[in-house]
Amino acid sequence: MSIAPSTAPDRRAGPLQPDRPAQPDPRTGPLHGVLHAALLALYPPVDDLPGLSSTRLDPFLRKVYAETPRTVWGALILCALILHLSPPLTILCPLPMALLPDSWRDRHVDRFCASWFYPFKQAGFLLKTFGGACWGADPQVRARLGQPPLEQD
Amino acid sequence: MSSISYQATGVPLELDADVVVVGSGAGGAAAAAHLVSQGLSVCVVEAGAWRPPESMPSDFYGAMRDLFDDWQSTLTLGPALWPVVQGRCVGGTTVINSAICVRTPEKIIASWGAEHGLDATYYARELEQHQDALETLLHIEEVTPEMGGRHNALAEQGARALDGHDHSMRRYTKGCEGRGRCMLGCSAGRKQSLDRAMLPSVLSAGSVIVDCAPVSRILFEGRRAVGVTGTFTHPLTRTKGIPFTVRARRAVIVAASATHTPALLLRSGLKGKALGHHFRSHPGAGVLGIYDEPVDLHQGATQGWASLAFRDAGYKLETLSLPLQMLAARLPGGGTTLVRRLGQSRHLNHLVLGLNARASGRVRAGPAERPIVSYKLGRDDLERLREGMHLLARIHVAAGARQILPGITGLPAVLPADRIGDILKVPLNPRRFLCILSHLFGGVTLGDDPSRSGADPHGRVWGTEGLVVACASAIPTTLGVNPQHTIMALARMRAQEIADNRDVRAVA
Repeated sequence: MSIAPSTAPDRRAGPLQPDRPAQPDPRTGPLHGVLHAALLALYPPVDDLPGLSSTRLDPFLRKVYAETPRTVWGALILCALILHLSPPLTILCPLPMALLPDSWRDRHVDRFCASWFYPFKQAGFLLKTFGGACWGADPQVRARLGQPPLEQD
Repeated sequence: MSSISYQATGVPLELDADVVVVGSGAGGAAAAAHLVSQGLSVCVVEAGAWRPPESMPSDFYGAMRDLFDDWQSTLTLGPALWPVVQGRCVGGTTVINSAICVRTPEKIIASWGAEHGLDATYYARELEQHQDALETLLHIEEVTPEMGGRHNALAEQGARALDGHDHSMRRYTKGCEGRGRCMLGCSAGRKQSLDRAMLPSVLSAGSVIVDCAPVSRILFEGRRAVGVTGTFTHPLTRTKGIPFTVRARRAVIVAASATHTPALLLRSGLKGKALGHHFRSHPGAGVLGIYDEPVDLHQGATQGWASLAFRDAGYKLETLSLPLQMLAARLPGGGTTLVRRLGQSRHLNHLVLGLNARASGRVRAGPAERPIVSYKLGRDDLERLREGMHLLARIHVAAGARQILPGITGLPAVLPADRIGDILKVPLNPRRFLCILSHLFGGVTLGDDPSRSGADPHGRVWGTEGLVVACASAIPTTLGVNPQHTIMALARMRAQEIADNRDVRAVA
């Protein structure tokens, strides 16, 4: 085995991890608000179980924007937009999700995620995956569901 | 001991070794460890980063970011978009799987001989020897009731009632604490993933592991593979670093998975007729049961119970605990309905099946060095998938579940125990099922006919010299069992053949 002498420094201190930023990127991704509202609708507070609104959703989304490939962020935004604009197809109401009363909005997101229309179902799955990653990591939620708290990421 | 990670700036990195191994998962790590034990120098080149146990991610989001291939965003192209799940880190998928140890079934080896022209006697003998050695090298532990927790005990209880329990699960673990987080990387360091169990021996033998280094092409001189090249890529920011080139004196082993190996060969200009074809898998689907008493999926081994009793019917059954964060996505519905169901999470148990699918797909080289996977289950496979899901529901009911969450579009989200027969009436449309592809095979399959296989019976890629495949992409059929043991043993066979200095030409 030989290493050419002109190469970058060989890091011989054992298995290494690449350096990582200490804090998530503070930038807010494009259409952050659209995604934020979609996720809040998917995980509302119910009885004594906190919803996403009680979690650190904004910093989480900033972290997602900073860390995911642009294709993943783009897919999330697209799915959120579809969720916002699809009430005419789920609950037959010609309004975007933001203008719906709470109970109608709740019925819309439930029907959207359980839809027979495959793109809706898949969009709901992707949004639930990322929303669940934030909701399920929240210490209050975990304590309420008998789960141990997570260590710091 | 030498490990080289992301290099942002400087002059291009150039290395050489007797053998270059692309990929550090079950195939790559096993081949590299075996080669250094035979006195050869090796350079392992891995696309992902090295994460020691103490810096494993703490949650599902971190695992998607740090351990899974491309954020788990590779989807099958076909009627249904199913995620293709595999690892992208030093140790590969062995870091995120449940370390399940099952020997290669004799029937499968016989079929490699009958249908693909492999010498079944040679394969049976060699696989047995290498699997014996691996079981000594890696600590094998049977899951005990204390280790398994309530969710595994319930599954066994339900399966026993249906005569479907046939063995306790054996895994490569050492003192498993049953924290149910195999998929997130074992931060306790109990799982014998190959970043812990094999790759340190590669370093201590003086060989090199280069991580954060996705290979873009294999280098050829004429027909002979002489090395690999690529550019360092920061795993978090994806910033490109300096280029690297690693030259091989004896051979290049490609062990980058059933999706990335064929994609890399195609990107490198190889044009074999069967390259990228015969991609197969065990699609996995799960059924949740709601129990009266708490099950607490987070306590106990992630996968502590399995049954091969229905292998002839075409599926293997297992438990699979899901972290709360993943459960949120798996449960049906949204809004208050979803959160209310999550409120019952302590009472949920999750059983899964791995379908021994007959379907065959194709892998192509896509943009940005990503594979494109086309895959479609046939009617026969879908029938068996539906039957298997019904069986999982029956096991839940036999274990005391009062309701079932089948996760199938078109059925009620929650089925009472006396209506699980409705699962058998679901139309055979793949879009109705939520599956993942986690056991992957083929793409550069072994065989004696260059028009039907990507590599010869000794893993040498047709039309080349010095280029050997040693990962799941070489396996010509599905296995019907968890593949890690077979992949590692096949990789050791290939390594031994190279160490013995056998001819590494496969010019068709």
